[in-house]
Formats: sequence, structure tokens, C-alpha cells
Amino acid sequence: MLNLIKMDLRRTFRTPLLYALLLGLGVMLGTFAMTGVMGENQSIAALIGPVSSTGDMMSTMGMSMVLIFGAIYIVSIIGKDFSTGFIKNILTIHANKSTYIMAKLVVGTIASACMLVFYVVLMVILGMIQGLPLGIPSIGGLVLFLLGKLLLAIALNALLIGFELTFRNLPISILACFMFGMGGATMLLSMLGNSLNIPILHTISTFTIAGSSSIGTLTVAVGDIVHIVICGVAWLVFSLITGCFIMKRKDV
Amino acid sequence: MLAIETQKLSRSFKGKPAVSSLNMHVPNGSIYGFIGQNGAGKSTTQKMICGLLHPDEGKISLYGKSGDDAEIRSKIGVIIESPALFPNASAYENMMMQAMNLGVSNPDKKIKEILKLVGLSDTDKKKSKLFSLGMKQRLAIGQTLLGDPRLLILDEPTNGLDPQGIIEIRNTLQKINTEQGITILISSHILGELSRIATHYGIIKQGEMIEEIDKEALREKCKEYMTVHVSDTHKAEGVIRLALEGKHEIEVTEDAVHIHHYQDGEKINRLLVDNGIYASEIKQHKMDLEEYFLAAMEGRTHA
Repeated sequence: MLNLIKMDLRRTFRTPLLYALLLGLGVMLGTFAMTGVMGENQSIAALIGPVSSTGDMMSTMGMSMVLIFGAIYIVSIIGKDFSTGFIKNILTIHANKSTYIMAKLVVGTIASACMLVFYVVLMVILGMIQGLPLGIPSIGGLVLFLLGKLLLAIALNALLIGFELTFRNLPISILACFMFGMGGATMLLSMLGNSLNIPILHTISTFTIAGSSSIGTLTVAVGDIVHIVICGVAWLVFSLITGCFIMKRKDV
Repeated sequence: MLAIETQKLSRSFKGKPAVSSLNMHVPNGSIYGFIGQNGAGKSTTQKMICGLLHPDEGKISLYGKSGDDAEIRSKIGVIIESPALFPNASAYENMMMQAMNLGVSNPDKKIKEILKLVGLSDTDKKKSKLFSLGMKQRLAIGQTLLGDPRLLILDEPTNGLDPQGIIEIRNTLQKINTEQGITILISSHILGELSRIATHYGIIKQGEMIEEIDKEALREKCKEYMTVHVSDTHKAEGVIRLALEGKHEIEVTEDAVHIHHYQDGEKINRLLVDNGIYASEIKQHKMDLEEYFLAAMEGRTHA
């Protein structure tokens, strides 16, 4: 597995894809931040994420885009393995196909972490340009918020890895990144819950990856943190088991 | 020891058998020529051996161990269907990716050696998508040589190569087989080239192995034979058998009698004329691999 990780890290930092995604992310979010689209820009902290309450959807959009772009990266490199045929070389040598998934997940985590750091740094710079105060409730809260996002990013990556391995269609997988990352299913459940007056659907919607992501704030709330950790780990485990199952049974 | 052994290997796609109860025996250190028509099941068999396809039934052993043995699998170099190259990467970078995949330590020197061996050391930063088919094929072969493999599985590796390239690859494969004892399972349509290097052959037809034969046995079977085209093959067969007293193997097809290891055409002609049998043609043959393969496809083992 270490060999695969080294190989993919070389690809990550020596090919333009990650940098292109960072640039795209930066331009998109930078524009939103400067034009005040991302919620109430009262502080630099507010640019990074919701300060004390879940707020509206736009305040969590920035982080959602970070998760989505991280997932896009990982499905892209898997898609490249299959489209070039290099997957044949990989899976001939590495008899345990689960190794492939685990290695991709590790590299995806690193890519997502890079995007997360980039996002925070970008928001700090933009906030400073706008003359906004720092406004971070606590450093511990910020760290826990970011770690929670990283955990959910890993879970989302694992889910999309399974998706890409199943369908092996990059455009569909990228669409799925937006669907799951922006919370298409989450919104649907929530809307159904409201329109059909079934409150439990709304509760269930908060246990999706996007739903959990929308809960996190920069203020330490133990219940929210526990919720995010449980959801993140549960989705990660589920996605890994499913992905390994698919990988072992699907032909190359 | 056998490098590759399959027992009753079978695989179907959408209910249609692609490989059916295939038994293959590839001796360690051999160059095994895997021959068959398009769609016969060669690539499917090779993919199953590499673990890329799951067999419906049967067993695969590599060097006496299970086909899933991690250590053995890490020592396989493979080209299946087409070269697996990153199009925007140079030859060196493609080789580096494979080297890292294999966990080759200090790969730089090894990569440069192999690039020189396959004639790609002067491609510099040129992207592989700009390579000719022959260059891509050579790069793919170079990739298989990284990591000191024990076994190479090559699906038509000389596709797209010019005659010079074919000779170079042939010489390279022969060299690594002789000097390093690497076992090579190679499928090819260029039977003439294959016959120059293969030590063993497996002939597959419609997913079934119809014959496995080594070089010496093939040479024995491909010795001279005579074909006598006659209108009455039954009568001609009787007359010839009587005259030759069972000393030569005789085979009869629809319009001809074939006599193995026999060269006296004049005697046969006189014999037939004396018995009132008209022979439209008497021809001497020496079968090569192509003719042997065609004969095998038609179910004729000797002619």
C-alpha cells in the first residue's frame, strides 16, 4: 500500500490537477467572499464557517465546496487509472484489491487537507483585505471545526470512491460529488419531511454527510461534535466496506 | 515446476462462454506462445491469470502457489490489450510511475538502463501521447521489465512495430529469458516471429485449449509430408497403404491423401497410374507453425 501512496503523491504534487482545482476553488470562493454572497461577512471567522449557529445554507457553502473539490480530485485520479489502463498494472501487482482503495483514500485525505488549509488561508487573507476582525470564538473550536470537516471529507471521498469504482464514469461521478457534497439527498429528505409533515425525515437528513457538515460551527458544542464524529466514522466504514466489496467482485 | 498452471478454467460473458475448461501448463523458464484466432479467449485467459477477471470455475496456480499469492503477483510484468501509459507523461515519468507502483528502490538508474534497452532514451520530455504505436509498445515492454519480474504476460507485444522493432523486441525477450530465466507467456498473431523464440505452444480455439506442444514435438510433427490430390481418395488410400506396408503415417481428407515423412513422388504416381487412379497433383510439403496452426484449427493434426 505504501508504494501506491508514494506513487499517487507523486502524481498529486507533480501534475496540474490539484493546483487547477485549488485555483478554481480559490476563484469561486474568493468571488463569493468579496461580494458578500457567503453569509454575513462580519468577521474572518464567518468567512471560514458558521460562528455560533447553523445559519443559512450559504454560510456552509464554502466548506461544502472544499469537500466537493476534494472528492472531485480523488474520482479524477481513479478515472485516470482506468482510462489509461494503468489499473491493470496496479491490480496485477497488488493482489489485494482493498489496498488500492485504502491508498486512494489516504491520498484523497491529503488532497482534501491541502484544500482545507488553502481555504482557511484564503479566507483569512480576504478577510484582512476587507478589514474584517478575526472574530474566532476559540482556537480549540476552530481546530475541532476543521478536524470535523476533514473527517467528513474523508467519508465523502470514501463514498465517491465506491461510486466511481461502480460506475467508472467520470462525469457521473463528478455530478455525484456535487449531489452528495451539496446535500442533494439531504435537501430532499428535509423537504419531504416538511411537506409530508414527517419530522423524523428531517432528523434523518442530519445524519447524511452533507447534513452533518451543516451542523458544525466554530463554537464548541459537544453534542454537535459527537454527531459529526459518529456520522463521519459510520459513513467512512460503510463506504470502505462497500467499496472493497465492489472492487473484489468487479472485473477490470 | 510450472510457472503457470490452470485447471478447468472457465469464464462466460452474458451466458456466452469465452473460456471453457482450459488447462494450461507453462513450464518455468519457458517462452510459451499462446496462439488462437481473434476472440478465441487469449486475452480473457491472460486477464484471469493476472487477477483482472474472476473465473467462473477452475483454478490458477503460479509457481505452485495460489494465483492470489501477493509475493508472486508482485513479480509479474504485464501488457494486456494495449499499453497502459499516462498520455501527458514522458517515457521517463511513465517508467517512474511503474517503478513506484512496484516499490523499486533507487529506480533512476534502472529506468535509464531499460529506456536505453528499448530504444527510448532520447525521447526526453516528449509526452507519450505523441509517441507512435511502436514507441508506446516499447515503453510498455520497458515497464514490464522493471522490478526484476519472474513472469511476463504479453498480449501481442509486437503490434504496431516495424520489422526492425519486432526483431529488437524478439532479441530482448530471448535475452532476458536466456540470461535471467524469466518465463514469458506471449500471445501473438505473427506466428513466424513467435516460432523463432517460443519453446512451448498452446493453441486455443473458441475458448478451449486444443493442443499444448513443445518446440521439439512441433518440429517432429512438421517434418516433410506429401499431398496427393485424387478423385477417389478411398481407393487411393488402400493402394498406398498396401504399398507402403504401414511404414508411413497416412491421413485422408476430402480430396487428398497425405503421406508423412515420404518424398518419392515418382513412385506414388506410378503406383496410382498402375491402379487406374488419376492424381491431379502430387506436392511435397514442409509445414511451418502457421500451417500447423491452421491445420489445428481445422482439426487436422498432421496436415
